[in-house]
Amino acid sequence: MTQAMEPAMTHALAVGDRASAQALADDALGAPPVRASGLRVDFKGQPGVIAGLDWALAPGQVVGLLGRNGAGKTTLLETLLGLREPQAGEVRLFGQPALLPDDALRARLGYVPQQAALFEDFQAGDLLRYFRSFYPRWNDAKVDGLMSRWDIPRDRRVGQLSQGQQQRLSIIRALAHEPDLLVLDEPVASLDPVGRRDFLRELVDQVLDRGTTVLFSTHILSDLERVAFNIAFLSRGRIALQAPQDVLADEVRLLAGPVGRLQAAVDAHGGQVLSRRDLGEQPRWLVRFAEGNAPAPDAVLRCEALNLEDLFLELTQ
Amino acid sequence: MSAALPLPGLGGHAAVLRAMGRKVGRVWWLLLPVLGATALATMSNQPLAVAGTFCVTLAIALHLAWWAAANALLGLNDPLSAHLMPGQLRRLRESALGVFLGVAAACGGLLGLVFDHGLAFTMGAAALMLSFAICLRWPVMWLVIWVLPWIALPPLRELPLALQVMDIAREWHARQPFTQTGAVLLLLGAGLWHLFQAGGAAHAQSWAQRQRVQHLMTMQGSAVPATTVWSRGPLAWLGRCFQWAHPLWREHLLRTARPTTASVTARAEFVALRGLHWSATASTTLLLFVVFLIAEVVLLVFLPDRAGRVIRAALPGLSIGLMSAMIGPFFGLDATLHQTRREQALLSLVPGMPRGIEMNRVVGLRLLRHHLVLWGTGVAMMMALQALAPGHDDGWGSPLLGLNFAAVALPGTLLVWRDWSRQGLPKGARAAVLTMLMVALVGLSIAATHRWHIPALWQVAASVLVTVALGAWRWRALQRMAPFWPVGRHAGE
Repeated sequence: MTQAMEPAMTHALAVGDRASAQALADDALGAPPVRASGLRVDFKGQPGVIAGLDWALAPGQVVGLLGRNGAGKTTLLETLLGLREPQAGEVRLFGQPALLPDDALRARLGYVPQQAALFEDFQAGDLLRYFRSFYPRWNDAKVDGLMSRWDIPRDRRVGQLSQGQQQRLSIIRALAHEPDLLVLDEPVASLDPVGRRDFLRELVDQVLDRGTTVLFSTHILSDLERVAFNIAFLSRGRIALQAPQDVLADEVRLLAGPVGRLQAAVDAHGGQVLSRRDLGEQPRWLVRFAEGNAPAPDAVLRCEALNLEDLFLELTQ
Repeated sequence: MSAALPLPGLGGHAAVLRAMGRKVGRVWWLLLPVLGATALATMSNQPLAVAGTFCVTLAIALHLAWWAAANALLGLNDPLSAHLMPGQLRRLRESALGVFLGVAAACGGLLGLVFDHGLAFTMGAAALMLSFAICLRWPVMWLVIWVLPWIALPPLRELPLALQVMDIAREWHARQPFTQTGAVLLLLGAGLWHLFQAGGAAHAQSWAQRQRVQHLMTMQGSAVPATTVWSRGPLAWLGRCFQWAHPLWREHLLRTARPTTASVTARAEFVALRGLHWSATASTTLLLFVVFLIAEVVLLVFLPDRAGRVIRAALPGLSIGLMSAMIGPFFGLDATLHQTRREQALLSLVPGMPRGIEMNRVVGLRLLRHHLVLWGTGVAMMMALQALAPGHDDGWGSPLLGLNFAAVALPGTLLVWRDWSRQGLPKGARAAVLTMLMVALVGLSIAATHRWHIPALWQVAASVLVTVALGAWRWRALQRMAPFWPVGRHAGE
C-alpha cells in the first residue's frame, strides 16, 4: 500500500533517517531534481559523446529527450543517474551527487532501461517481490492494478513474456515505489499503440498525482506531442534546444533566403540562431524568436513554423 | 533451375567448405599450444621428444578444430535450406564426411607415428569426433557421453561381457586391422551422415533447440539457469534437478530481506551471478555426491570383492570432476557478470546497495569469499571421498588429482579483484589460453607429486600462503579501482 502520498516532505519522513532530512532540506532550498554542469563523457575513438553539457530539470517537469541514433541519449541518462562516471563535470540529483547517492535519494529514483529483457529467469511476480524487498515503500494497489490492466501473467518467466509485456513489467517495477524522479530510456519502443497510450496515461497520472519529474527518451514523436510538456533535443553532445511544445511552435522558425537577408531578419527581430544549413543559394537557419516577434515572410525570405518532426530533422542533421 | 542457385558438383562443396573454413579459422589460436609445447620439448634430452610432442599436440588441436568444423557444418543444416535448396543436404553430408575421414586419418597417422597402432588411433579419433558431433546435435548427449561414463565405466569394465567384447575386438584388430578400421569408419561415417536432417517438423524442433544452445555458447560460458533456456521437456526437468537449491535460496533471501548492506548485496549478488551462484553449484555437487555414495553402496553390496579397486580407480576422475565443478564458476564469471551488467545498473540504484569504493570492498570480498568457500568445499569433499572409498593407496600417486587442480587454481581466484568496469565481452581465445595455462600448471603439479614426491596437500598449503600474500597486494589495488558495477561500462573507453 502507499504509505505516503504527499511528494517530497511526506516521503522523506516515511524513510525516516538522517539522509532523508538532508534531502528534505535540499528540497526546501529548491535543489532541482536534476542538475548537470560541465558534463563530459568520451568513448574510445568517439570523444565528446557528451560535450560540456549543462542542464537542469525543474520539479514536476515532463521532458522528452530527442536525438538521433548514437547521439548519446542512453549515455546521458546513465550519467545523470550516476551509473557512469563522466570525464568532467558533475550531476546532482535533488542536491546530492549522483555518483554517491544515499539510500533516501535512491528510494526517490525510478529507472526503466532500454533493454526490458532483464531478470529473465524470474517469474514476473517474483521479480516484483524481489524489488519490493529493497524499497521502503511499495504501492501494491498500483502494481496489482497495472498488472491486471496490462495483462501480465505473474507466473510466467520474464524470458517467456513478449517484448511488450517485458517493457510493461519494467515500467510497473519502476513506478511501484512511487519515485520522485522517473527516468525512462525508450520506454514505449516495444509497445503497440494501445499499450503506448495506456503507458502515457499512467505517466500523466503519475505527474498529476505526485508531481513526479519525468525524463524519457523516445523516437516516437507523436507520443511526445501527446504527453511531453517539454522537449529537449540532444545534438553533438549538448542540449541544443529545450522548451515546452507550445513555445516551440510559437517561437521557432525556419528561415530560408540569402545569407544577408537572414542575418538582417535575425538582427531586426532579436532572434537566436539554433542551427545553420548551407544548401547553396538558399541557406536555411533555424531561429528562435521571442513570442510574436517572428519576421513576416516576403518574396526573398521564407519564414515557416515547424512541426515536431521537421524540427527534429533540422536540429539533429 | 534458377541461376541464383549454386551449381551442382564441386562448386557446391567448395562453398560449404569455404563457409566451414571461415568458422574454423577463428580457432587459429589452437596452434599456439602446439608450438608452445613443441618449443618446451626442445629442452628435453629424450630423442624424438620434439617430434612426439608436436604430433600429439597437433592431433589434439585437430580434434578441437573438428569441433569447430562440425559446429559450422551443422549450423548450415537449417530446416528451410535443407527442405528448399536442391542438393544442399547431400553436399553438406558429403563435405562433412570428407572432412571427418580426413581429420580422423590425420589424427590417427600423427598418433601412430608416436605410439604405433595408427589404425587403432584412427578409429579412436573418429569415435571421439563423432561423439563431438552428436553432442552438438543433441546437447543432452553431453551428459550421456561425457558425464555418465565417469560413473558407469569403472564397474562396467569389470563385467565379463565387456572383457569378452574387448578381447574379440583386439583379436580382430590383430588379424584384420584394415578391414576392422574400414568397417568402424563406415559405421561411424553412416552415423555422421544421419546427423544432418532433411527438413520437416522434427528438424525445425531440433534446430530451435540448437539455436538456444548456440545462444548459450555465444555467452562464453556464462551461467544461465537451464530452465531459462529450456522451459519445458527433459532438459528443463534435468536443469531443475541440478539446481534444486537455487530457487530455495532465493526464497530464503526474500523472506529474510533486511535493509542492511549484507542482505541487500546478497540479493543483488544472487541476480548478478545467476547460475554461478553457490546455491546452484552446491545443488549439482550434492546431487552428484549422493549419486556417488549410492553407487558405492551398490558396489559394496553386489561386488564386494572388487568394489574397493573399482571405486579407487574412479577417484582421480571424480576428484577432477568435483574440483572442476567448484572452480568452474570462476571461469564463467567474466561472461556472467558482463551478461548481467544491465541488472547490475538497476541494482546499483536500489537503497542499501554500496556505491563507490565501498561497493568494491563489499562486492569484492563477497566474490572472493564465494570462490574460496567453493574451493574449500571441493577440497573437503575430495578428502571425504578418499576417506569413504574402501581399500588403501599405494605409493606417492595420490588418487586425488583434484588436489593438484585445487593447488593451482587457488591463487587464480584473486583475479576476481580486478577493474570490472573495464571488463568487455570476454573473448573465447582468452578463456582458452587461461584454460590451457591451467591445464599446463596442473600437469606440472601432478609431475611434482609423482616425480619429485611433493605431496599434493603440501602444494595446497603452499598455494594458500601464496594466495594470502597476493591477496594483501590486490586488496590495496582494489581500493583504487573504479566501482565494479555496472560491469563493462568503461570497456569502450
